[in-house]
Formats: sequence, structure tokens, C-alpha cells
Amino acid sequence: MAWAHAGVRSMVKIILSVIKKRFSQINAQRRVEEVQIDGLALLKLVKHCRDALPKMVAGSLLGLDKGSILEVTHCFPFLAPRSQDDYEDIGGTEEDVDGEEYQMEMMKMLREVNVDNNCVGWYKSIYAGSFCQTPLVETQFSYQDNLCNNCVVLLYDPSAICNGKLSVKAYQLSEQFITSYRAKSNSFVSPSSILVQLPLKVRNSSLITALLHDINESRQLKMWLNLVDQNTECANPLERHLEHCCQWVDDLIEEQAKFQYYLRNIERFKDHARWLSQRRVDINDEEDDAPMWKNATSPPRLDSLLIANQLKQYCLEINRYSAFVLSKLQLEVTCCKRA
Amino acid sequence: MQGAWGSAGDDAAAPKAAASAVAVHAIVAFGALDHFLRRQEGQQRVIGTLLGRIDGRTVTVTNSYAVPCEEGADGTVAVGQDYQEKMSRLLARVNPDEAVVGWYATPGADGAPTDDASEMIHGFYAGACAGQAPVHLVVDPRLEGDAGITLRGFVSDGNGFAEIPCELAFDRGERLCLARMVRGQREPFGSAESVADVMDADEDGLALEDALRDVDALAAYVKARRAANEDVDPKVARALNEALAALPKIEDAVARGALRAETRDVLMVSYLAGVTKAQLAIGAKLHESF
Repeated sequence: MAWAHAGVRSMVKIILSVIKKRFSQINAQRRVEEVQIDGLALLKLVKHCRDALPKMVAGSLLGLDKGSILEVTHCFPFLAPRSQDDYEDIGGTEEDVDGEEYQMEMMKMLREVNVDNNCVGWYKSIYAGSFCQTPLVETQFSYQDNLCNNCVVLLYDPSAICNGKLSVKAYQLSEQFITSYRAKSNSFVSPSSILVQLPLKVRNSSLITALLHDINESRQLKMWLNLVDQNTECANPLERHLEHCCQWVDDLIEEQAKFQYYLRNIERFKDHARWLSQRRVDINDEEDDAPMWKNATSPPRLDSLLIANQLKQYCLEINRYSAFVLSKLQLEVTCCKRA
Repeated sequence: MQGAWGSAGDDAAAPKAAASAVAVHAIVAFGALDHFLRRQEGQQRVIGTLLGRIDGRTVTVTNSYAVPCEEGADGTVAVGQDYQEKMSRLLARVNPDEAVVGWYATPGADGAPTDDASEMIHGFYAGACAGQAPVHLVVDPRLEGDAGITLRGFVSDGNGFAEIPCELAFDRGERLCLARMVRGQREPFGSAESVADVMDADEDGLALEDALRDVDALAAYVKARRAANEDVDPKVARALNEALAALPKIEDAVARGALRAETRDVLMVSYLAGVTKAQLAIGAKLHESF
């Protein structure tokens, strides 16, 4: 995701220059409690993420924060990196590799047709529900710290679609975490309060609601019950979740090993110190060479906290899904009895 | 791809084949309506470019973008040509598979779907489309009569516009999003604007309710027919027969055994997830004190 990160950085840079002139007090605003996305923006986001599969992509959200609601009214994709040949094919120039010029242009163009011209965050496609990663936190931090405290990240999981689920979530970094991260402190923040989920609603204007009504009346939106897993294109979600869980547990163990190594180091230094002081008593040595064990830096906590949160998310997901499977099984038992 | 926005001059010589049908994805209809809401004050007609692909003689429109356009009182039209070309280039960098296939508009001041100005704009888009003659989509947001919001497709037949069949299309993502927009509303279509919940959707429960409703409707239908001593429509009867035959015939004991085993597995997984959560909580506590 390094390119998305670069894309986001340039985005932040651009908007900073625009915004600093316009709102100097923007950080003083209160925090939003809910995110409302326009139907069109949601469709655009889902389309971009789906079209780009299997690549994971990101984009920018435009809108406005209004009181306790953050309105997302439009979005546009960031450029995915391409090889140099592709660039020449489509008339791109060498300088615009991270798409800074592209983003600038896009914002300008959209303003011409009266689209909101204020960046309120970014979106990103995620694979199978895993999102707690340091780059994501860093990027979101740069948004909330530099641009506006109300910036959100919308995470869309295209793989959930084969189970008939629409998985879009809105996240922000908590105030507590931002303070601690800004101070570069390594103190403990509860894993579940690093990234905080905000309620997400989709809002449609009256004209689009009218269109929705027509479509709904025509029964084109009928949902098909996914009782029998005939579609082999997507593996059993339970299995997939377990698989990912295992991987994340491995990652967590790896992180924990760093802590254990650190603790062992401390113990070793303490032993050494004890031995030295013992020797000093024994041979009445006045030498003052206190061991320097404090110099060893403690390993950063962020990764393991994020992994713990990710694991918890998977557990919740597994619980939710197994509840569904159980009721499905119950249904099958009843059907079997009747048949 | 270069041709998608290049060469405006050489199309007049060889007339391009016209599409015979157009499938419009929901995102395009949404985009046109959104654009209409964001129009300049006093502006009647909004126009935009359609992007998509051509399969034989069917055009599938998968994306669109708004293009500025100004109409003078004397019937002149100014289309943002630079804008159209630049936007087309920008979007091609994200998704090079979509080409310009035509344009959309809302009806002009007099309410007719197409007029002289449409002819002029159509001429302009004939140069912008690469493979085929452009299609023209008219999105009518005026909600007159019982029509609702209508979508109509047109192609140029040499001396005017000829209407071609036009239908809404949905891909899986769109279908899910739209279904969510409808079902997530607290009181569906109780107000003009709609706000729907996206999170924690119980799609399976809703789908099950839908299925139950269908079964009820079917049972009512069959009952009514029997009461009236009429024959059931053979098509329905055949479909019903097929649906019932689809139920797998498994030995009762085998089926129950398999189900029991599966239930046990799922319970085990769910239990393990619970244990993991407890472990994580303990881990967090240790971390905190450390």
C-alpha cells in the first residue's frame, strides 16, 4: 500500500494549501458522531474497489462536516501505480507518478460542476476484513492531524460481496490515541480504542429516492437467500476467517517475542548488576560502573495492539457468522423432519 | 485507447454502426440525477458523458461524469469541450477499460426529450466516441404524471433521433447497495429524502422474510385456484415441481448425523472464538500494567 500512502500524502499536501487559507479554526470544531454518505458516492466507491480487484485501491472523499454529522457527497479514485510504459500509452508524464497533479486536476474539474470541494477523508478497499495495520493508522493520523480532526476513513471489503453482504465501515482515530501518537509516547492505549468505528448511513436526495422507489416497485432488487453454498467462487467464510485468525495469531506471537526478548534483556542486566554489587561487597571495590540496562529501548506497542484489535474483530465476525450458520442448520433439521 | 478522445474529423466520412439497445447501470442514473440537483441556477438541461463498453450492438453504460454546458437564449449551446476531453483522460488513467459511448441529458426548457440543441451536442459527441455512433440517454427527472423517473435511449438515424430500448442494469455491488438503501430506511419511503443504515445489516434475515412472503403468496395462489376449481398455470406448476424436486433426498439418519456433526463443528469454532477473545482481554490487561 505504499503508493496509496504516497497518494494520500500528496492529497493532504494539496488540500492543506487550499484549506489553511480558508479555515484557520478548523481543528477547533467538535468531533462528528455520524457519517452520512450520498448514495452516488457509495456506488462510486464500491464500483472503483470492485473494478480494481484483485488490486487493493484507495480514493478521496469529498463533502462537509455539519454539526455532529460528516456528510460525504462525492468521491474519486487515487491513481494506482503503473509501469512507465502504461504512462506513456495514456499520455501521462513522468513527473506525475504519485498522481499529485491528477488529484489537483480532479478536484478542480469537480468544482466546475458544483461538486463539494472539501476533502473529508479517504477510502480504501480491504481484503477479508483485515484493516488494523500500521500504514493505515499512519495515513489516517496524517489526515486527522494535518487536515481536519473530523476526517474519516471508509473501509470497503469487496470480498464480503460473495456472501451477499455489503461491508463498508467508517473509522476515525480516537482523541486519546492521537494525543499519545503525536507525543510519540509508547504508552498503552486499549486496543479497541485506537480506531473507533462511527455509525455510517447512506442518504439520498428526493429525486434519487424516487428512482429507488421505482426500482424497488419493479422487484429488481430481490435478494436470493444464500442457504446452499453452491457457489464455489468464494470459500466458506468461516474457514476463511479461521485461516486469517491463525495468521494474525502468528503475527501476534512474533510481536510478543520482541517483548519477551526485551524482558529477558532487562533480567540479564539486573543479574549483571546484582553480580557486580555482590562483587563490590566481596572485594570491597569502590569502582562505580553501574550497568546501563535502561538504554535498551522498549519495543513499540502499536503493532501488537493493532493485531489484538484485529483478532478481536475476527472473533466477533466468527461469532456473528456462526450464529447464522447455527440457525441455518436448525432450519435444515426442520426441513429434513418435514420431508 | 487514444482514439477514444482523439480525431473528431474523420467520422463524417464513414458512418459508424448505431447501437440497437442500451443497458444503463444504476450508478449512471444516480449520477445524472445528482448532477441535475447540482445544476447552475436557471439552468434547465444538464449534460454529461457516458462511459462504458460495446458488446455487439448493445451498449452497456457503466459510468458517467458531468460536463458543463451553457445554453444561450438564442438557441446556441456551448459544451465544455476541453472539460470533456480532460476528464475523459483523467478517468482513463484509473480505468482504461471504459470508453466514451455517448452522453446523457435532462430534457430542455420545453420538456421535449430531444430538440435542436440535442442534435448539436450529439454531433459533438459523434467526434468523441471511438468505436460506434454515440448513444443519447435522456433522464427525465420532472416526475410528471405517474411516469416516475424515466430513462430513454436514443441514437441518431441520419435525420433525427430514433429511440432504442433502454433498461436499467445492476451489477452485484449495485444491487446490494440499492437493496441496502431501501431496506435500511426506518420507514421505507416515508419521507422524500431517505436515510438508510448501512451497518449491521441482517441481509440473510431479510432475504428469508422475502422468501417466506413468496411462499405465502404461492400458497394463497394455489389455494385460490383450488377453491375456484381451476387449473394452475402449467408454467407455475412446472416451476413448483422443480423447486420441490430440488430438495435433496437423503436418508433421514444420515442427514441428521451430518447435521449434528456440522452443528458440533460450528459450536466448537464459536467457543474457540470466545476463548480467543478472553485471552485477548487478559493480554490487554497485562499490556496495560507493563
